[in-house]
Amino acid sequence: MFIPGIIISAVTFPGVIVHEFAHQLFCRISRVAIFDVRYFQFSNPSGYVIHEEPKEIYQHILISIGPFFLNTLLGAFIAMSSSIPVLDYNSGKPLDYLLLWLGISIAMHAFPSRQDANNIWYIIKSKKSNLATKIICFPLVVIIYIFSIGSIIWLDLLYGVSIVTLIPKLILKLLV
Amino acid sequence: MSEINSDQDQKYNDYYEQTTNYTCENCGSSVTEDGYKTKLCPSCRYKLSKRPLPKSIKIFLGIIMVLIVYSFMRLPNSMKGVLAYEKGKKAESQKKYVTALKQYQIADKEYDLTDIKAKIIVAEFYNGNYITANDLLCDLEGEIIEDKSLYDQLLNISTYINEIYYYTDDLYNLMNEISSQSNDIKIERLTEYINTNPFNIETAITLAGLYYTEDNLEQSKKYMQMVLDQYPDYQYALEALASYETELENYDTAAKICDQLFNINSESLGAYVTYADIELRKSNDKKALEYVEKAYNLDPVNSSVLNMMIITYQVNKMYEERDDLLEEIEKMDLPPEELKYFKDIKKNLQKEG
Repeated sequence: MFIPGIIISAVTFPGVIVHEFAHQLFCRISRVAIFDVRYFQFSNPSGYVIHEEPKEIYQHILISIGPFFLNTLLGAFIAMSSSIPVLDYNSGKPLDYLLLWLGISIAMHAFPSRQDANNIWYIIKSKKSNLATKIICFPLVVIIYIFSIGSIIWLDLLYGVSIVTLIPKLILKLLV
Repeated sequence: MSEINSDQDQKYNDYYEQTTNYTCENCGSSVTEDGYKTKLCPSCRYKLSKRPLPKSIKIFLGIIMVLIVYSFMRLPNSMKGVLAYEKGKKAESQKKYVTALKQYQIADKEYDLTDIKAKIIVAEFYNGNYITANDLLCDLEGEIIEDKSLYDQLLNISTYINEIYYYTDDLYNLMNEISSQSNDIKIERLTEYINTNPFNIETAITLAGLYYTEDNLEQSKKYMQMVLDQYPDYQYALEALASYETELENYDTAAKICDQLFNINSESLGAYVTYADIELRKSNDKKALEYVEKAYNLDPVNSSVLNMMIITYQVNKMYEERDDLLEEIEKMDLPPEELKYFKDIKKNLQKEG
């Protein structure tokens, strides 16, 4: 089923906001100047952060993949108490459904955008990057591209749902 | 001059280009940081990197943080039911039906799910609580159970219970008729009935019980064995037979029956109590205490366990523990006749001083 990206972004807008916030946060941590931020808009792209080109390669990578960690963690944490009762026991209260929606929305926007992948690709190609950086970053770019293309077949949603279900199940397994 | 002038112009242009290229693009300061493509002074870079969040985003992120904290706070409670259900399933797979039942009951309080109720029935059945299992089966009537194996399990339990508690109209009338008669007449009439209906379990059980009250253990055994020939896993019959064998001092046979019970339910309270009884009769008082304590830890409100616990404390001369337990029993929510039984024990002990 094809649903325009803008509608998906609108329905999952909390994830877009957290994604852009994560970029901004890692710019702040890396002391990289930010020129413009759009947390959410009803057009393509649904959000962006325009920042200067970072001085160091690690700053580049941190800013590009920061949302992956922040969105994944926040998505998992927020839905942790609701996912199993709702998805496995079909016994959630309205608040559980709200938390689940938030969790999935946030987690499904964890993957860096194609623009983020382009940024990393730009670093790989630059003279500044050494062989180790190229070896580490290349698969990262490939994965990001795969997920970016895979969003057409709901790979991002699949990731979001997996995060909010698998992490609590893993914790449950450890407790039992 | 013009040359000079033009030379001076060139110098000025070069200087202008150099200074504009190397001044902060934001504030015009001449001190910029090296290594960046964008020429910014440290202060501007710091300020721009610390771009403030709009109020709406601050509120949004604040709500997200509050919800995360809330989610973490309610996690133990919301996972309580899930955890209990999973623990119950694990215990069930290990035939630990007392634990399974406890865990399923916790899960049932959290979630109103047919599957959990069905699991409770299974656990009650394997704990030998057939009447409770049957009542719960009636409550579940009309509900849909999607799990095919669970459904089949309930169907088997239902058939099993109905066969065991099978009352014909004749038997029902007979039981009513003899209810106020003496044991001798009851035995006579029921023996007549069982001779023509040899497969009626209820009659055999009743006869075994009547013979037991008449201290005729051999006859009790005979009828209990008759029941077990048809239903070898009938826990009540196994427990009764084990206790008859214990009283007849056939300890090895009794122990074998207890092992059979453990094979059905590895937490069989009846088997633990009988083992404790066997050890007490063999004067292995400490060993008896071990068995009965295991049962007590599993179910501290089971009357037969409590009874054996008091006896074992008494034999082990643990008078303080015995009295404390009797005190505790008085506060328990036991059926009135059981409560009276324990109160009588307490009274008798007080009389004895």
